[in-house]
Amino acid sequence: MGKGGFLSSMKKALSEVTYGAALHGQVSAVLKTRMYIEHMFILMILGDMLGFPILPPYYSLRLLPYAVPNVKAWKHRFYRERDFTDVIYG
Amino acid sequence: MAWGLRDVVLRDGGPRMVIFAGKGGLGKTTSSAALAYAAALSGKRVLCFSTDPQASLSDIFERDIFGKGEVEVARNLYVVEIDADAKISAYIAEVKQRIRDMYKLEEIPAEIEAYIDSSVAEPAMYESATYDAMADYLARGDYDLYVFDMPPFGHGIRMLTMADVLTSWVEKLTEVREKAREYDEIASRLKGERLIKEDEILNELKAIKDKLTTFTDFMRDKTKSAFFMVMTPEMMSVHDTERALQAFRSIGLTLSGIVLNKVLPKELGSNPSPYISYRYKQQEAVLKVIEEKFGDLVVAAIPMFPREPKGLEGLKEVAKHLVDGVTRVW
Amino acid sequence: MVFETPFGITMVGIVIFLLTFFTYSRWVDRRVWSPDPKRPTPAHMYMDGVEFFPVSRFVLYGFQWNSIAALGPILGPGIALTFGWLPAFLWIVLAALLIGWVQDYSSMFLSVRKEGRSFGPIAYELLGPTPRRLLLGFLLFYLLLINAAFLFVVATVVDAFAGAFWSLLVLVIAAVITGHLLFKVKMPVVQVTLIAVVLLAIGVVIGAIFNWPPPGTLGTAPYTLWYVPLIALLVAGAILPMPRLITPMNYIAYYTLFPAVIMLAVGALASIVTGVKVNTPAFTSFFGPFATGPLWPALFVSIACGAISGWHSLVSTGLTSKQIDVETDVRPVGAGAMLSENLVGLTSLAAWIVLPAGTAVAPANFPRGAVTLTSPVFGGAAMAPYLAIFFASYMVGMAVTILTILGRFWRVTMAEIFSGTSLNFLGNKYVATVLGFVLPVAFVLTGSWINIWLYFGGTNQLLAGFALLIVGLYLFSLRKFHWYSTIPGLFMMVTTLAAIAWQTNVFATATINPVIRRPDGTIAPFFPQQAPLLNLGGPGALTAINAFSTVMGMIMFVIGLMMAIFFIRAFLRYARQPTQPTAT
Repeated sequence: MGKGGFLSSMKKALSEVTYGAALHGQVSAVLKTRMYIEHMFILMILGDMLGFPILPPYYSLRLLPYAVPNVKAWKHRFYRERDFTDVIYG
Repeated sequence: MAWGLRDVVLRDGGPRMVIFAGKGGLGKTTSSAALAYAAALSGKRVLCFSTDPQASLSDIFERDIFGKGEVEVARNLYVVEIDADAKISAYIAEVKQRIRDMYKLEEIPAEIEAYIDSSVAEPAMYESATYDAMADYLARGDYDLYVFDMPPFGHGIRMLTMADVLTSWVEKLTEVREKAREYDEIASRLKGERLIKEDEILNELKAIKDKLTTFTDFMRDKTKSAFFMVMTPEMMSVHDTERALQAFRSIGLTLSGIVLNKVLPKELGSNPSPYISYRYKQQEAVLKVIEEKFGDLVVAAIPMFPREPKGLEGLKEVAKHLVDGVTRVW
Repeated sequence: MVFETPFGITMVGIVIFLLTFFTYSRWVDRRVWSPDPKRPTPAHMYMDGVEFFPVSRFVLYGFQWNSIAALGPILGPGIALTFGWLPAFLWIVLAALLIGWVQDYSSMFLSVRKEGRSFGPIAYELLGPTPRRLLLGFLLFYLLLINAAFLFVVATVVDAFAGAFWSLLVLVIAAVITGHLLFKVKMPVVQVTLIAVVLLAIGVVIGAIFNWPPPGTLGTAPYTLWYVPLIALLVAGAILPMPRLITPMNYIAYYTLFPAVIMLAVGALASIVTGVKVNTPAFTSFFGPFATGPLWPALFVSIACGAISGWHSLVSTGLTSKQIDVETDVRPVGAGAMLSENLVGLTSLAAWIVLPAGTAVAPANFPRGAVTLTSPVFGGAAMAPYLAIFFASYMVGMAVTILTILGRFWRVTMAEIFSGTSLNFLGNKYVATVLGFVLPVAFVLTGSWINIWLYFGGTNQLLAGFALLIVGLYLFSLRKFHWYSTIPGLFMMVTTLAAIAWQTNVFATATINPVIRRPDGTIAPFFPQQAPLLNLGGPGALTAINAFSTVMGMIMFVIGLMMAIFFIRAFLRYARQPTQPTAT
């Protein structure tokens, strides 16, 4: 790697550190809120997978394809042990 | 008071949707078919849709229309008898295919497939599939008049209320999606990206909602739809009808009229058979009760026929009473 | 002599921090945790794109550092100066070498190896249900104490530099504008940031010009009046949707934090040229005033975040461990961020020790020290009033951002604890939020800054002790070298229990003798700062408020002691087990 390579990787590292310090926490908090909303959505359409029938299954099925990628995370979060130490930064 | 449905239903600017409700075996399907035929004869393009799981339209028109989609049985008269089971299977297959296409999967994740398959067995699926087909035809708007019959009474009411429940769920879901989208947008703004991806779920929800509201709009609008109860001159039917009227009122629907079916014709009153004349006397008594209780709501009377009316000829005969009101009971 | 200016301690510190990072932490990393770049981390195992996902180590380093950099490193050294600057310096350096990064790094690694789980569930697995409940109850007290300490800081700093209140208002307005421009107008983040930075600068200028009202004009208990607008603001922040206020405010606050930290470091290093002298004595006496207590344990709980802080273990096991890309990133992120934080602690110490000898221990004196340290480099005497407001705003901004986050956290926690119980109303959004700030004010009314801070420091360091011992226990159960964590853990546990006991004793004394009779017959409160309260409610009010603090101290002590017993029992239990335990 030449000198230009070193400089550009330094620049990249610096901008990443700045992003991490200034924004990553905010983005994470927003994403977390976003995730709770997504999970509420999944609960509404897939509630009866966990034993809470909410939306008639005919219409759940129509929305199901969109929820597929999040179902695993949703179940993981739903069954994961959690307490309020998670609330601070988790 | 005019007898017969002609003035109510077949006039210009009359309702575009007519529903016959009532218990099984009272002649709803026959009434729907007869009205549909009369409307077709008057020049309207008519769809007659039976939600009854007992495939009775096939019997009435004497041809197999079950699960065949819209079948033209006479000029301008189209008949549908839905095969809900087949519809559900096709629907399920479509959902699965969609998942495979969307995520380029060879196989659907096992737990999701199991979930889809298990939901087929839900009794609500059957109702929803029927209802959905009904709403679909209505939303497409290809016909001048839609005539539906509603199978055994409880189910009929549920279908009406389900539309409301569903609409409010869809509104909730839409709200949730919009919020999710807002947060997506905030996160990508903070990251310095631009969010271009559209939320397809929102479009999907809007499509569902539009379909449902077309249906409920029709139902709630008295100029667009008419509801008739079908009953027979028997005390049992009187009680059922009273209860139904209450239920209708509680969900905010106005009944357009009651059709009395299987009325013993007057000449039977002088029949020498003590069995028949006793039956006739009993009917007289019940009719009195009906007049007291429902009075002007009764808009047509169809006599008891010696044979079950079948085919277009039979329906023409029924329509004389139902539509043109040749039989009066008081 | 090289230690005549803060340059000396800063240079020695930097060398030790670098050595720690490149030698001891590397040795522990290889010898104890043996990171395997091929072992999948929770970020990969449970990738969900919102919480669990791999993030570059530079981003995580920045995030971790920003999350642990708060008021702790700034304020602690001020109190530690009671014993002279040398003990404070030695503690920061020794903690940096042997304790601070050990906790941040090890708890992060533990969480990475435990599927990214956070503190509570890990405690449950290693210790059982009762310690977990104790820990959670303890955390609630801890939160109240952080709120109390930070509310106090804001109120007293604002009382001394009223201009900082007006810059805080500008910060809040700038945050609302930033949020609006970013999320509603959808302006690019770079442009919005420029606007925000300009607004912040305007805020400092306004504060410096409009430095009103002057200290002491607000009556006999001046700073208490500031709580009213402050709590109103915090409650609004905790209740409004995050993107409206908290998210943009925390974002733009960074643009005060970062320059402040850099300026302090530059000021400290440049002192060899500028000639800003160390004015406080190197060592006074082992025995401080009764309210503070002796050097051991008081020193070790007064300098918290700059040396070691339990808060960090919550950050490490919270989000960071869920986003570590490869195991080899844990050391640069966990240890790296902490050692940088040690530097912040050290440069803050530099700002304190240039104050004239005998300066009172009060948060509001930090900006004065910071101005003395930095003004020769940044604009001289002409800039001093602006620098003073800048540093005061920096303290206020840091405290307020943490307080808004905690307010939210407190609210969620209360809802989780009380919903569905007969005390349902306590989980109510508004009730919980207001309680979260009003209860700490009760603490603040005790009036003694030192005691609040030492209580806070005690719980904070005790939490750190828990974290170190949990790590030690885990390593012990695997028959790995655990002493590097267990010994600091034991030290923190014993020290903090002693400190809490001392402070409880102080408050108990003040409960029994709320007032002191002077030889001339007049009475004075035990804590001089309680004078306004004495005028308002008489000795009875003092007894009540001091009894409240005594009870809080006793509860924390008992929880700490019980935890210690649970730890000992757990160690003994694992000692008897021939093989590693199975997860429960």
